[in-house]
Amino acid sequence: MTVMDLFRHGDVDGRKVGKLPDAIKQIHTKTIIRGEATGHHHTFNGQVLVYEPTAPQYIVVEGEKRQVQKYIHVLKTAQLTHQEHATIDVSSGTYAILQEQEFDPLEQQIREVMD
Amino acid sequence: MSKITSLSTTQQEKLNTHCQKLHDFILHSGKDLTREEVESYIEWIYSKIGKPKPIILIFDSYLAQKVAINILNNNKFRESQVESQVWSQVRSQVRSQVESQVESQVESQVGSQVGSQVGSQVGSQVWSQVESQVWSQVWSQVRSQVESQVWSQVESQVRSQVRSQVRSQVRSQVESQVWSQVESQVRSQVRSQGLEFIEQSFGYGYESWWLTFTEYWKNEGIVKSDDFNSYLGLNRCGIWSIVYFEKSVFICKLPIKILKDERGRLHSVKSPSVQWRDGLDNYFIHGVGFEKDLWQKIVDRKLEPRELMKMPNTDQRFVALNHYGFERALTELAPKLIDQSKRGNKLYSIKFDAYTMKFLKYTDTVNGENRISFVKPEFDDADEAMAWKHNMTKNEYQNKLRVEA
Repeated sequence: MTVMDLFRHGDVDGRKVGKLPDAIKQIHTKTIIRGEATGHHHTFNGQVLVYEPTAPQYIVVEGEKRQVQKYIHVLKTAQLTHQEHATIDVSSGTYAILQEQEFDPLEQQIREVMD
Repeated sequence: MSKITSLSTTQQEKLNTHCQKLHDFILHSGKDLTREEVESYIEWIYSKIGKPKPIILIFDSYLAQKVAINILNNNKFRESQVESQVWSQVRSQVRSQVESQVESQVESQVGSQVGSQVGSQVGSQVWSQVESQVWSQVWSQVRSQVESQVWSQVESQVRSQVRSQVRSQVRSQVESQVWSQVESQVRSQVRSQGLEFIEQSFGYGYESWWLTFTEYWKNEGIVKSDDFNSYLGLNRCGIWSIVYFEKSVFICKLPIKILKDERGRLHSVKSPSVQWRDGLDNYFIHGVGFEKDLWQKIVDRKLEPRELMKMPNTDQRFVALNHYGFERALTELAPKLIDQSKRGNKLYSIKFDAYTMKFLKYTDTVNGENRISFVKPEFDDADEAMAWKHNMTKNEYQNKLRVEA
């Protein structure tokens, strides 16, 4: 099934946005997130441009700011792969890439999930 | 001469055997190497880029190779950066290896003094320039030379067939399952000390599939290249990783032992999964890397629930929890089920010290096993908590998220 506006690929979430913001730079990779403990990575096959913010950028969901890790511009439906997760098709468009989050009950703060 | 349009049964068997042999050589041979073995090949590479033979530094582990580069690279490894006893031992162990090797080679070559001057003598600071020269003048030349031979004599479908088999038997087993995991762990270790992680991606760890693919065509009489033979010969000495500098080259030998689980992931709960000659080993449980102390606590089942909850890495926590015993951990924490959704998400609360905590128990999209993740204490709805974790609203999670993997 092809992704429309939202996708979840393990600890990586994608959310369609209208257009790319200004404060970004293109990075020459198709890997959007790499896991520290496993070395596994979420990597696109296909015509995808990957950008990273040059300064912290956020998307607001339910009144809460979520930091954007990357932006991707998918020119034509592309495949998002990972060593363990199933490959998914992502349709053309511009997406913000966000990291799954959780709550640290001992520190009483939100933290990004790290695979 | 007409092109090869298909592989005979004998050729397919040879390909299978070839891949298996290379896989076993890289991961299980424990092949040791000596300076004498690699010297002529290194000299050949440096002559290709117009430079004299460098000092050859050989290390028993991947971590030692990376630390050594920092020791010799503009004093990046300062005393003040090393706080733990473990790292202090690593530093002195590697430093003594570096100095003894440099001393023996520099004295015999130029009679220079060694010590604080070592860094400048090996010329580590110009690594990127040398790296690009090795890429452009050695690796890419050899590659294009042998590829044109294969392309001109073998039909594309046969090349694809061979490439596909090499990838599944060698690349997925060496590069994806071992190299990337070891590289990731050592990269974290090195960077945690404020050091630079320099990897140029030469050696069997990274080049295994291409070397295997090309060697197969060499054995079939398709590839005839002295340069490839030299390049292959260097790797066949048993090189896991090699980093080139102007006046020095840092070689990491193959590991002596690699242990995996039934799914081919690095794994052992009895000994290090990747064992190196100098004892600077790598510890994994079902493909997830740990520092030795944490690994020991997990395998001894001495991890406290508090330590489990403090683990920021979900893969580590998942493995630790599974090893500890998921149901046992939950029972000890006496959780209360608050909500359960049609999508299988369960929200629990527990009391721990002075805190009331809430966590989600949900199904892993990869293997269907249970995972837990803490969420903000104000949630009372399992799907709403799951949506929050994944940066969306409950409505989006329930009605618009079409693809989860």
